[in-house]
Amino acid sequence: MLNFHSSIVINSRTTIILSTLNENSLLITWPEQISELQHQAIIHCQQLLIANKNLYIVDTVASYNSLLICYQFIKTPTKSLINHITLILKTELNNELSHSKVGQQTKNNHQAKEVVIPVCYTEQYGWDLKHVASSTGLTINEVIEKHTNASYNAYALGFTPGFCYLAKTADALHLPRRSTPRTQIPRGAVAIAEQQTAVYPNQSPGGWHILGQTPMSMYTLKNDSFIPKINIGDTVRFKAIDQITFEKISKEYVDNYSRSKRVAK
Amino acid sequence: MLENKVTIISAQGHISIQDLGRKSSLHLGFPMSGAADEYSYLSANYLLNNQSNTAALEVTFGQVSLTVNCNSTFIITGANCNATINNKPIKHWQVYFIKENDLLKLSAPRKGVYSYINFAGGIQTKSYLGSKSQLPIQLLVTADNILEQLKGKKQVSLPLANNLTKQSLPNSKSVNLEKNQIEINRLEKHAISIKNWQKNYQQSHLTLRFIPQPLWQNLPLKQQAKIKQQPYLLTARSNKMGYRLQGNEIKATAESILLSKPVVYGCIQIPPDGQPIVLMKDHQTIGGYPILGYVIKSDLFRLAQMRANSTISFEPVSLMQAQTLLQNFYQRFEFT
Repeated sequence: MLNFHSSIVINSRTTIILSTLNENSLLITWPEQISELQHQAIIHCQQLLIANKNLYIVDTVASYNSLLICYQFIKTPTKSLINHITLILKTELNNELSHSKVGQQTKNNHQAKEVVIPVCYTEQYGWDLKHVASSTGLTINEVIEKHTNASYNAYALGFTPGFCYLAKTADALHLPRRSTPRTQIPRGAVAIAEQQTAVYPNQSPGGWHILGQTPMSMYTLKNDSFIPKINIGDTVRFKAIDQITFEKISKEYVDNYSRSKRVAK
Repeated sequence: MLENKVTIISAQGHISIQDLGRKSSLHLGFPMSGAADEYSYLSANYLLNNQSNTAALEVTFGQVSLTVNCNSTFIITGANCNATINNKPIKHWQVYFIKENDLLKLSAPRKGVYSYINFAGGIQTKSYLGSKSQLPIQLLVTADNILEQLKGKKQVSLPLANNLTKQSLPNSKSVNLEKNQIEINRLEKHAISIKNWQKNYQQSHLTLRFIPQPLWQNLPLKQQAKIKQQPYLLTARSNKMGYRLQGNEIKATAESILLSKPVVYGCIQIPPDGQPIVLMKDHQTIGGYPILGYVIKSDLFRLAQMRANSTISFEPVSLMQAQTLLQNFYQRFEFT
């Protein structure tokens, strides 16, 4: 057997897959769906694992329907970690009733907020606006309207620092990722792919379709800590702005940044 | 009292501070970063009698010159850059004694990519999120970006350890001051593995052992055989975020195109064009592409040192084999 891969059935119908990835990490995968309730169960599982110091877990990363566990196989043998996780999934998360209780608890613990992101959807910033319009059969204005006329849930933080995966976009906007990713996408690019949307917080490679750009920063660096703008569980909306407003907000950020740097010194 | 410093006078390639990286910040979207070639980096610290996670200078494609304002032991490991001290050639993988105002110069390496320069006690810059490794380029402020600073000012100084104890400095009997050379027992222990390393890196082909994911296991045997037999080319579109390969298209079925999920260093991604990408130390933390498997940790430092136009083959191995090899690797450097 090359790798560990097993299915655990809970609730007599939900199948969760537990599999090892490499020497020091494994992945717990819930059913392939974007669901707020399921996501709350994932976060609950994450919290239970983090709380157990005897497991020597190094890091955990939650996503739409999965939870990555980074551990040290030398301190915690793979088999024993697998057994432990299996037990948690079969007991703590087994109860349909506890799911909704967990959901409420999780929402209460985390101060979920609404974040509104200003976006300039012009041809200059919306590199793929034309392509998205033609591929979906919508007009450019319809694309923008469908993107701004929705409320998104924050499901995962990752890809690059401060990058937050938001879902779900309107059905009409669903497109697969670009067949070859771009090696460089500008900071603040607002993009879509499949049922997701996100802001690229920094210049980076990327394979999503760019609709526009935001002048808003997606994180703050304060006292050597990193604070993302959007946290998992938050709600996000996009608001269209014009070029003038874009430049005004950009300038405010630059001014604030230099001010905070002077204060920090 | 003057603080001990290493001053970087010039750098034509890339230079950054690296240790073993940020281990617990993946959940914020931070790649672990850290030394690209862990074997060379850890060897440098081991031979210097530093703690294994001591920050060092990682030099990409050599071409760096520096000096110090103190006396210290130091070493260069990794790609051979025909280094000199005061224009006198020195060996790599050998602990030396560097004196105040000595000039250390590295040329461009003919083979390999990364070289590691370290001193007793290492580079003493501030840690961020538990590591002194350079931040992802997108987050770097000018003050922490050595290359940016070199462009503006003339030189960049970095702090070295101030309490260089007798343990890190050799006694006069073992120092050949004229040659700056030191005999260190640890080097003998390590010598065989260095020979092997050097043998490995002379070659332009590498077999990458990987722990397969269901995508691999579900491929028809014919396709698996094809992938194993026909090597891939390492393209020049490769960097510390990912190494892009070119060769036989690997077709991922529709079922394997799933929701974005967390990925780790060594992940072999298959984008729609079927050309594999191996995620390296500065990789993205979440990915949406299908995953063929994960390159074993013990082969990733080898991959890091391969140059564009080298060839790469894939060989599936089991998790247990991978863990055994990694355990041996840890034991060599006496750390967990």
